Amino acid sequence: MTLDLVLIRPEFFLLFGFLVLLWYGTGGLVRPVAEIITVADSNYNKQYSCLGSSLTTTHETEVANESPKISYANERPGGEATSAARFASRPAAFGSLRRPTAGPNHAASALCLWAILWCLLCTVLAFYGPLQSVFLGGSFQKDYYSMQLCGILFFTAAFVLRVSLGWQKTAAIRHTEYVYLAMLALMGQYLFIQTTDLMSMYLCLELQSFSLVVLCGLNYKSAYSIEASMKYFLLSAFRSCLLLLGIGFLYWQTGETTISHIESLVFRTSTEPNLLLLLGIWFVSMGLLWKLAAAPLHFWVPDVYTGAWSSVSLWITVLPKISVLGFWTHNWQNLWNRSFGNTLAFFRILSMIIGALAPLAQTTLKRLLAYSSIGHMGLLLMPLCGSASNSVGALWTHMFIYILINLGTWGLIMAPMTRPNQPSLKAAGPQFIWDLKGLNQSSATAAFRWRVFMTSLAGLPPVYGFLGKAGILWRSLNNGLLITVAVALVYTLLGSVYYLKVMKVCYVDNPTSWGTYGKFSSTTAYIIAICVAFMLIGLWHGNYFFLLTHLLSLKV
Amino acid sequence: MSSSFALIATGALMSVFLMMRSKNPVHSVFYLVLLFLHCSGLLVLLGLEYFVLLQLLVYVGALAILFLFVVMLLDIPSTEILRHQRGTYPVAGVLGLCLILSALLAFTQPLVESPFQTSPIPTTSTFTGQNSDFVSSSRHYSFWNNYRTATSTVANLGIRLYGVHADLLIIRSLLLLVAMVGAVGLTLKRPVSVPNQDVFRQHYVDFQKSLVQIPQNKI
Repeated sequence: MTLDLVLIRPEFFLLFGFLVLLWYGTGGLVRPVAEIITVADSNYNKQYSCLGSSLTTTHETEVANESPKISYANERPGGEATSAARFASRPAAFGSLRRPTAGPNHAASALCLWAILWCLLCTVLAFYGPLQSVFLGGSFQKDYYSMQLCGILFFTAAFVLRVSLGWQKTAAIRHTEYVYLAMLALMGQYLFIQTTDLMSMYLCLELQSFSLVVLCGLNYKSAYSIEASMKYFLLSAFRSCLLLLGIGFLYWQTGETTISHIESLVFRTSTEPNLLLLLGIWFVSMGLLWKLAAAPLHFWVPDVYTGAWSSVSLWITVLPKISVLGFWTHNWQNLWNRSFGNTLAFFRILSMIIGALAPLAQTTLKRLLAYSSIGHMGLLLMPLCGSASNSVGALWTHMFIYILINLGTWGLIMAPMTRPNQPSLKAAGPQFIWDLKGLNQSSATAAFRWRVFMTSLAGLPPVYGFLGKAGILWRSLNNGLLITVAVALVYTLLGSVYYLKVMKVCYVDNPTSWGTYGKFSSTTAYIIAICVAFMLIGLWHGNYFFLLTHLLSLKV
Repeated sequence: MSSSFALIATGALMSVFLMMRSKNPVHSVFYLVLLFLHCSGLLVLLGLEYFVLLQLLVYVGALAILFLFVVMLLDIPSTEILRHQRGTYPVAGVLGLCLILSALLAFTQPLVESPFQTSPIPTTSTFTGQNSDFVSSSRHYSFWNNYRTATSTVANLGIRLYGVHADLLIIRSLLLLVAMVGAVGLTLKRPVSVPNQDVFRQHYVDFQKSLVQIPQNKI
């Protein structure tokens, strides 16, 4: 019991922190405040101006643009001459009273800042948690592998939140629910990495997908957003039906829900596994692959990416994949390999084919990135074929580099953009590929960044993206997956076409009019710059990264 | 046939009768709830605690309340219901015949292995231990709930749900929280033109400065 209490500190911290955020954000601290009653009175004015003078010294600058909206109904006719002078000073005094004396004016981003701090604290907790054990009725397990992945998950989440922070006002995100739901999704993903039991797996999966459904639909004034939310919701409902059916089959056949027990019960006996059991494993795996957006189960991806806010799309691109891949490599790999083994080749080859061909026809940047993420999922499924621990290392190397690339690319999408034909309208970011026309002339730095990230996504040599792809191909060659490697090479070739198309639009096209980037939020710009730096020097200084992922793969 | 069974069965029959005969549909639904309660009482007598819980949660908690809401929302006048009830007597007659037939068959037992009665578990050596030859030769029957030696199902369920897997219960509660926050968030209209309630502005109001005393003679 005591051990349990020590072990669940991070979970407790998460839950507690979440409740505090909720309480804070919904106004739990607010006491009813009496309104200021304005009486135009000489006595009162004197009192008021002296109050004002003490305050205006500190907050003179904020006040000027926002005058109070309180009408002075009962003005006195007498004393006109003096009150004119007082009136002049009154708005300032009023403003300083009505304005908050501290704190930002954008509740969502203020909460988001707290959430980032909280994610960083959780990172430290996960990395340096001393005890590693099964806890709480055996549904969750903390060990080196899962805790490292959890730390990386939290760290990534902090950056994902941070990169969109300055952009939230531009995109008109003023929902405080945004932060709660993101944090709840994060909690689901965090617990999902540690889960060892089918029941808890289902619950964590539902927790994160429900939160993401609501996050997709929060911007309900846009029909695209509603479409995204509906698609995600309905398809994830079907997915969870099948998943539950699979779990039911597994429980029916074995009477167990703990994955390691199922493994030892079924596959260490000499008899052939039952058909229902295989069906159960198949359904549960389909649920996981749906979450990963592998190819025949990818139909939700483009629409969800298009409809949701860019920050939510980034969240969906990166974080669930860390958690599902972590779960798969940690717990599910053996069961899948013993029962179906090479069937994964179908998924990865189909993913790569779709990732190579479908983006050629896209005009929207987000859809392009969505299909490219499907292609990358094909690559990421390649190391899952064998049970060799080295290939898991290659998987995580590529995944971490992919996270960096995505942070930078979506950071570039999350910057205000002004189109040539509608100069008054500031779009929340570049939406179509041709928005980037002539970017080299309007902002050479941004164009350079697009170039770096597109080259990285294509996985071509001078940048860091090459390393992950090369590692995966190398491991697959070692495992003898010749056909898959051939498909991956063709995929790289075809994929380069549409990544090069973006670069061509940036550099070569000579447009008559062009969209221009607005002011980048400073932290977004910093994060993009850091990602670019990693991309540029990573290929020559990637040793530490390799060692880290190798250590991870040894601890699977 | 204990006295409690007689009591509960009579109550169930009475509530069925009242449910059928009451003019007001809302009363009817309430009698339906009463019927479900009696049924769960019968299940308690059989020793099926888990099914009692299911009965109460699913039928009383969800279905009957759903009926109640629908009935209240639709607000059907009772004359209309009576008009639609005319064709139901043949159907009710067929069902009643079936009921009478099955009750007769259950009492008279035309076959040795009657499908209308729960077959008792044949006692084998695994259940009784010693004297197995004697017991099995005499074909001694016993019902399964006599063999329950462990703690009751409900106790086991409670230990599992609130003790061993309490964490899953907490995660489930978070899931419900997501549903609640989501339902509010997806339906809340946030008009731009009206002043918004800025939580942080309210947080940072210094109440000592926002309260201004009005002199007594000016009120």
